[in-house]
Amino acid sequence: MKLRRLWNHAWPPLVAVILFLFLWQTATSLFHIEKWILPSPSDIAREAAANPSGLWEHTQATLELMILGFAIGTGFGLLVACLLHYVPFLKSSLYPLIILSQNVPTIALAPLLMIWFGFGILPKIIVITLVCFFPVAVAAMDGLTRTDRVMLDYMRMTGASRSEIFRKLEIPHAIPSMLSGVKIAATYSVMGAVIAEWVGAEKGIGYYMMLQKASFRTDRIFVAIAIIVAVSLAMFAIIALLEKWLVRYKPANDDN
Amino acid sequence: MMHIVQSPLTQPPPAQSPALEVRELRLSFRERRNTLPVLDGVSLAVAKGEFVSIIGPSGCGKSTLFHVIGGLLKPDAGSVIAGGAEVTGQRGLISYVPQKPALFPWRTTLDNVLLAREISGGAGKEALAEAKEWLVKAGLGGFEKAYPHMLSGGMQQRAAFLRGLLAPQEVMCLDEPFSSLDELTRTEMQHWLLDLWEARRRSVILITHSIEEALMMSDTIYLLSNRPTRVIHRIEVPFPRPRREELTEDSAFLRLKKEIGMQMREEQRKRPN
Repeated sequence: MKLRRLWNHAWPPLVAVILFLFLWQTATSLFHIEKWILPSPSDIAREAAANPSGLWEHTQATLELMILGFAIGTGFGLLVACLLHYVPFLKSSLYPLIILSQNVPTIALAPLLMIWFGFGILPKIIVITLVCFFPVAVAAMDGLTRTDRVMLDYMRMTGASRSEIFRKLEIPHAIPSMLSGVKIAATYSVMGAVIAEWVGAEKGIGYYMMLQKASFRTDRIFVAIAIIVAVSLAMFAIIALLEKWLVRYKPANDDN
Repeated sequence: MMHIVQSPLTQPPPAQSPALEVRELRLSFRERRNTLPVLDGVSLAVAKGEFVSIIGPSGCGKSTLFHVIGGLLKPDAGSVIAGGAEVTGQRGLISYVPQKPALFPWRTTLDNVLLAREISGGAGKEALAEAKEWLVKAGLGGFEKAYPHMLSGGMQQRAAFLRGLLAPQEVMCLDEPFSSLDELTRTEMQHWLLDLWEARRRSVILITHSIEEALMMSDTIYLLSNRPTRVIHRIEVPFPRPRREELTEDSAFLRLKKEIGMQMREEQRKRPN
């Protein structure tokens, strides 16, 4: 039953993707498009299968970087959100600054960080942390502020302390919001890692892309893009599963 | 007629010190330059084990009154007294059953019912056993592990009520707990609550807008005026307990209901707008 429903949802986009790949394949051979401008999907698949110049090692390096940065950024975001919520004075003074700081594009910050912290792992972690921090912190703070009024009144009248209200009501109430922020951060973290590697690295998918660009290996760049998409999707799926488990009390037809 | 005791403000204090008493509460809401007086010297008392109802026109400060009693709002003047001590502005002295069930969706029915106990620091094995026992009595046996969204409206309200009942505080404040239910469920719930209360007497303040509900359940009814709110009548309900559904057809019951209804309508007509 469940599998069938999944299939009913999955087949239309699947068919669309297959059709798209098919059109791409026929177009490249029909119009004799040069391989260095646009390789066909089969060329890309062949290249990927051959593990060109240590692609797997590069992917692994990016994954490590990304997961570390994501964990730090998300953790930091949740911590700051809780802290600012707990201390209203901090929130009113720092919240505008947090919003303001996000208008600085990360890609513009990356070279600066390289100058300050060198080419090691630290500046890259900082870039990913910055990218992940904002969506998590804002979503968490938003969730914490939108606590149900009646439940809050109930807790106060019953004599719950500030920390009891926080632990037993505000945090669990905000978990769905927090997770939606974490989901965004999960996909951003891949982007953050690749951007950081573009600016300066000696391994990783981003570094690999720069290398292949220099030698016009369009097919290999496509392979790298495919890997980035796959990693993003995997991160998203993991968080979605976590969400399903943490928010298991919700009615089944409520999650789309 | 005979049953209605006039002039509540000069009424002598009951012999035994009441479980909860509010004296001359005054409160105005201020918004920029406007002042909106809400409570205009409200006084009432609940004896130990007494069931008190508060009826008033919609929009009078009934819920505000609860918020003052619960310590969420500070009155401009007047005091709240519990067990002989002044407790104005203190929280955690009443057990509250809100208008909406407000069960926590991430807690099972059992955990929801235990919440008030947890907060007051008494959620041991004893409380667990007691909660399970009461869930069965409330017709919620077998739903202990169910999440609130799996329960019907009436069941949710019963769970919310048990949460209030199992709280250790002496005085229970019920804020129109049946108003969101359909007619049938509502009558059923009233009788359920009445049976439960008659078996385990607590001091109760019930806010309602149903005269019949108030007459059926309570020992004393306070009739409130329009905003700014005062107590206009204190009515002692003369019917013996246990009360059965047939009471609603009793002639004395109907007469009293009609009389209170007239007073309410008169009060509604006096509305400024």
